[in-house]
This record gives sequence, structure tokens and C-alpha cells, in this order.
Amino acid sequence: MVKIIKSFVLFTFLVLPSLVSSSNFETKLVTWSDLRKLNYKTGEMPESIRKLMGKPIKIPGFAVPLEGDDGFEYVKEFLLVPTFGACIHVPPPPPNQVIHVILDKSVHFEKLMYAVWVSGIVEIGEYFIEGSNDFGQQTYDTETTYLIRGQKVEEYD
Amino acid sequence: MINLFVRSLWNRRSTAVLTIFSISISVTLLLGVENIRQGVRGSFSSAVSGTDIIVGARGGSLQLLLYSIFRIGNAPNNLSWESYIEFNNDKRVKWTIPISLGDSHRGFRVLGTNQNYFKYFRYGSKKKLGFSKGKSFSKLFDAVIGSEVARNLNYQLNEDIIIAHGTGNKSFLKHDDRPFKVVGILRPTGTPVDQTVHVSLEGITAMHIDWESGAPPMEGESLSSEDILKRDLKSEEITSFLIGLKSKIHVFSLQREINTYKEEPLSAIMPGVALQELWNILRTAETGLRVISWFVLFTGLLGMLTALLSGLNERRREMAILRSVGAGPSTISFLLIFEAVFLTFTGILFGLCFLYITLFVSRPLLETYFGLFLPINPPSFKDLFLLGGIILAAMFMGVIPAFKAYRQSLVDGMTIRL
Repeated sequence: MVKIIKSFVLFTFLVLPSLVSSSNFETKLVTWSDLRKLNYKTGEMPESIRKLMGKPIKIPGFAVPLEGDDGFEYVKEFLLVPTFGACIHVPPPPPNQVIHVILDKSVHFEKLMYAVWVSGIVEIGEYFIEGSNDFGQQTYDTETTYLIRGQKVEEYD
Repeated sequence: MINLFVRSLWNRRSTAVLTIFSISISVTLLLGVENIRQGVRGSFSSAVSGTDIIVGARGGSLQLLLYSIFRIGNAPNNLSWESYIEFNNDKRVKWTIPISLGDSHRGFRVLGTNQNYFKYFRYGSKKKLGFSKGKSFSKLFDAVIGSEVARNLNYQLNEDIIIAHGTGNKSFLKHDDRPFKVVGILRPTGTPVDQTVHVSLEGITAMHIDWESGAPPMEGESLSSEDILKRDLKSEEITSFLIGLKSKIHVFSLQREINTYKEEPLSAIMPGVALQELWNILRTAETGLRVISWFVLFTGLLGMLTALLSGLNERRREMAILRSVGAGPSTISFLLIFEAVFLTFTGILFGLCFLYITLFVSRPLLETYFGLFLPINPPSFKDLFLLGGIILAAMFMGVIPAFKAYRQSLVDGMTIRL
């Protein structure tokens, strides 16, 4: 009996802390100024941002609904931005200040009317924009943006 | 004892029926309001999906949403074809659907568009439009009609239709010199698409040739359909257009570019945001309706209590006899509480029947006249919970006459005052 207790104690002190500190299980709190460090034109990013890829993060913001789940009563996809409402004095937020969130389970729209915490796996994706310049030549721009596969939306308080 | 209860109630059948009736009406109202609320929200929000930006002439965002998607109200102005092409060719844009409104066919709106409409338009949860009969328009005077148009006017393929100028139910100026032919009928979608006659943008231009003065051409001056077919027709303006983006991230930047476009005053909205604005406005009305229906229910239950209490006086002898033949106070109380629950329960059953009958009867009317699609669902878990709550409330109300009857029957039993 004593042995069992001992081994249990060992487990809690040695194994659990290592589980918690291993970044795979930790939801990292990220701020909007962290996200600005991504150069969305060149795709360059500091190590602090690169480390986030594929990891669970948590970030507060305001949701702008994009796509509902059979209508807009329940929202499945939204854009997360740091400010509420469109400020018409300055240009809209640059691509590195907008996160495209796709939830695995839709939430009621009333939950998204105020500030929320969103947690989920962050992905940083690069994609090509095909276009043509003024001389009619084909051009390819790349842009790097954030996407969160959302798992949880909570009220911000 | 059930026998006793039934006979006693039968004796007072008119009061009982009226009580049941008033409760059933309040239940119908309560559930009906909830049903309509969900129906309105559902039919509004399932009408558009997958569209990132809607663009129209400068105006309010709700107005733009209402006329471009729900065909409610009218556009303040058209926008030029050049502006449309400008944003259609933007590198961030994946697809656009041009929309040209303003005419109607026997009360159904006519929408001019191109093939992108059938390729990219989505409703509900990203569902695509499909044809139940025929195919998309390919010739100038071809038309594709929604399922409700076909059903209501009993149209088949190859039918000739004449489009009226303006959007009224009746019109005195018609494009009758240039009939359109039905080449396709769309599958039902439960959205305003069902009530729309779709023609090509060129078709809209074609039927307005010679209308430059704002009135139809004089007799003998109008071009025949054959002559028009020979012309090279181009759209000069459209009412609005829908945009789908390659990456959703660009919604804000493109929206701002359109809103600040120097060549022409335009408005760009995100459908989800505009719909939420609409919910916020509707919410006040919804709350008001809900409060009213709660009060009606409360009145119904109070009416039952009044009937039970006043009935007690008439039933003094009944109670006294029951007591004298050995019915205990618990039996008397049980009888009265059971009566309250029975009346409420029957009221709820009748209310539900009444609700579903009303829904079935009013559904086609609401669809045709308001474009509202009420889903007819069995009562939800929430509804059942609510109804259970009403029965519970009735039970508590039954306690009051039960207690009174118990006291009275005791007194009546002791003193003989006949």
C-alpha cells in the first residue's frame, strides 16, 4: 500500500509537471502585438511566432461573422480583430491583425456580440494571389495570414 | 373515482370547455410567437451563404441587404458596369455575381444576372442551386424561374412569360412586345430564390430598348425581338453584385476600398454583420411579443383559477356528499388539483393542435406574400419543458381551491343549512 502511494506521489511530481510544461499541452496566451511581428508580405517571422505554428493559443478579440451553420443564428466562421466596429479614420487592420477562425462547433451569435476569448490551434498559411501588373504581365503575390482552428469561444471578462 | 370526476366535470361542461379554450389559445400564442421568431430568423439567415461582400449604390447596409438578397424594398440607384468590372478583376476576388433588379412578372421579382449565379450562389449551409427541370438560360429571351413561381402560376417549360415594368403586383406598362421563354425551373430552396424569375443581364437590357424616355415605345416604333437579337447588347448598369474572396482576410481592405471608391459612391457590406444588425433591431419587437404571450398565458391560468373557485360555491353539496360517504380530505384535494391539471393538459393538447393547423394553413400564404418560410417542427425540448412548467403552475394553482374546498366541506358537513 505504501508503495503505491509513493509511486503516485512520484508520478505527480515528476511526470505531471513535465506534461504541463511541454508546449504541446499548454495553451499559450498571445497578444495582438505579438502577431504584428509576422511580415505578411514576405512571410518572414521571428522565432517567437514560428514557434506558435500548430500549437494551441488563446487570444482575445472581437468577432466579425462570416459564415453561419445553416444560417447566421449559429456562427461557424468569423474573423477575429482587435477592435470593435469599423473605424473609418484609418485603413482597416492589416492581414497580420486579422485571424480567420473556423470553429469545429458553431456558437450562438449572441455570444459573439461582445469581446471573446478564442482558443484553438493556430496555423500560419501562405498563399498565392494571381494577378497582372500594369503591363499585362502575370504576377504572383504571396501573402501570409493567420488561421485558428477554433476549439473554444468564451466570454471575455 | 375517475368516473366521479368525469361526471362532475360533465355537469359543468360549459365552464370547463371555455377554460380549456382560453388555455389552448394562450398556448398557441406562446408557442406560435416562438415559432414565427425562429422562422423569420431562419428564413432571413439561410438566404445567403458563402458571400463575403455585397456591393450596391451608396446607401444603408440593411437596405442593401434587403433589396439585393431578400427582394424587399428598392435600390436607391444602380451602379455602373465599369465599377463592376473594376472590382470583378481585382486580384483578391474569386468570383462575382451581378444582380439587376427593378422589373417583375405577376408580382414575382425579375433578376438579371449571368451564369456565375448558378455556379457560385450558395444558400443555407453552402448549398448550391439546382435545376428540377430544364437548364440555365443561354439565349437572350430565356428565363429560369424559381420553384414557387412555377408552382404558384403553374408554369411549365417553354411557357412564354411577359415581364412587367416596375415591381407592383399589377402593372399597366408591360414589356409585352418581348416575351421571355421559360427554359429552366429551379429546385425549391426555401429562400427568396424560389420567388424570382431569372433572366440574363442582356435580357434586361433588351427589354428596355426604346424605353429611353421612361415610357414604352410608341406603337409601330418598337423594335421586334428579331431585330434586337441581331444587336450587340451590353449591360450599362447593374443594381448590385455579390463578391466571393480568395482569402477571407481581405474582407476589410476590399470593403474599405469599395466604400471609398472615388469614381462612384458605392456601399459594401458583409452579409453576416448586416444580419446581426437586423437581429438587434428585431430583438426589441421579439421581446415585446414574448412578454405579451406570457401575460396571455397568465390570464388564461388565472381564468381557470377563477372558474374553479367560483365553482366551489356551487359544488358545496357535492363536496358535502362526498365527505359524508367517506371521502377524505386528500381525496377532495386530489379531485380539485386533478381537475386543474386535466383542464390545463387538455388545453395544451388543443393548443398544440390549433398551432399546427394554423401553421399548415398559413404557411403557403406566408411563403407567397411575405417570402417567409416557417419550419414546421415537432415541439422542441425547450417547448416541452415550457409546457411541463405550465402544468406544474396549474397544479400549484389547483392547491388553492383544494384547500378551500377542504375547509368548506368540513364546515358544511358540521352545520346543516339546507
